[in-house]
Amino acid sequence: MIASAMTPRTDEPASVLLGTLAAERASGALSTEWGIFYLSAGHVVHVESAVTADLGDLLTHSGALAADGWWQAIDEAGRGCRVGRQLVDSGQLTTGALELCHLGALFDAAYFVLAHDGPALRFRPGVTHWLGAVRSVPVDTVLRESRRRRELLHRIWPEPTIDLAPLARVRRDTVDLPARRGRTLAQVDGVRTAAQIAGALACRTFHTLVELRRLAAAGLVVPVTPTPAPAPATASAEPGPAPRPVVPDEPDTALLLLFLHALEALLSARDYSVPKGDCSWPSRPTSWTNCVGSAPAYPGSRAPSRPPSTDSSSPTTYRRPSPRDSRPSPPPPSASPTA
Amino acid sequence: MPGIDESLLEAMRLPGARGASVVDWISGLALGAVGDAPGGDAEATAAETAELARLATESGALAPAGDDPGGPSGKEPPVQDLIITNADSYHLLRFVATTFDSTVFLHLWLDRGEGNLALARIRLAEMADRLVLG
Repeated sequence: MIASAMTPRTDEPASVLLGTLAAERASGALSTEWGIFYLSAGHVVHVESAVTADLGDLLTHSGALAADGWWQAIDEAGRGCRVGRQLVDSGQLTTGALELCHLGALFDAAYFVLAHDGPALRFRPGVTHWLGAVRSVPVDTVLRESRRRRELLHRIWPEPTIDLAPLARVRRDTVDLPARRGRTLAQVDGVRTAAQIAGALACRTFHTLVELRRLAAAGLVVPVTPTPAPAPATASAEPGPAPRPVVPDEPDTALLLLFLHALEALLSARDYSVPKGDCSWPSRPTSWTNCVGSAPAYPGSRAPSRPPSTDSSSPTTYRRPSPRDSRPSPPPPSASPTA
Repeated sequence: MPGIDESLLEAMRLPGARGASVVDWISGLALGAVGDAPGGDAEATAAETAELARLATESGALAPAGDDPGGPSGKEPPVQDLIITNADSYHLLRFVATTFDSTVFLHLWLDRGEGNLALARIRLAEMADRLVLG
């Protein structure tokens, strides 16, 4: 309730706002309860979600890239928002590998942000991601693909609790399975969720969900404690109080969210100017990378000085009243509760 | 080092090439496409070829003899390519092996009269390697 009162909600689903921003050829970062879309000239250049691995995790946990190489690229090119380009220029990745992995992560995160198509929380014009432009995708393509993926999962096994609940094996006997599905099943331990299994395998979460739903359809995997069915995605499009996000119960995520809150409170603790072209470069990229995608509607999240639909061509300035106050800022006088 | 578009444009320079794409065989998404697509529908083509590719990667019968699906090589698809031949064209699907999680293949649609299947198969394999290995 507090969050909805203090955050400039549009009460438009993120998918609708994305369409508007695409038509305006806007650049900036659009946050929802479930993640952040980064746009450049109306195209999606990056997406982050709390339940999917980012590019760095996919590359380093799989062994495709040494962790040292990843951090070196961030050290050298993070502030210039060209980490992706640096990975290629330093010879650590081919352009093709970077594009494939980046697109894989982008569509993976976009699916989970749009699967819970809640109201967009805020749009920060001009903010770009520190990874830099790798390969942009039209908004329409991302929206259509996310719909198609939802239908694909439904066709395989129409039981969405598999996606969020801890999962358990039904039988312990060995089953002859395709390699990828077998590796996924081996991670099912009665405790971990799909997102955690994907993280353990350094795989994209949607692709892990596909295997898990196939395993469920084969009667090999069941949710341990079925969670109450989340509200249908369409319900969140209706005006009214924002639904509480059904976040998977991951201690790490909760911790990272706290850290995100602290980071953003710090940023809000001074006049914070985001000129066009500046990037959301963090001082501690590890934690930021992992938690920025889950940016929630928390009390006092800094508010854009203008509504999202306005022209994004000029710099945006965020202000808070007390420079050293690390507590969340009160709502600006002009911010009217929409819920 | 080529990116997705450069690799696809290189594939299109092969004699008889009608269209080329990079497709994720689990999601059915085309990550890039150039040239024509059968029926003019690149998305439907990607989804249908992806299903075929997925069945091939999951088939025990099509895997090399002695291959241990649970072994270290299980990361790579056990099948290297698929060739589908119809009355007027070939469809050549070449899997791209990556260390990271990608599950993609190159799809080349080749005119049967003008194309050289053997040449295209060799070139597409080289392109798949160069795309991710440089």
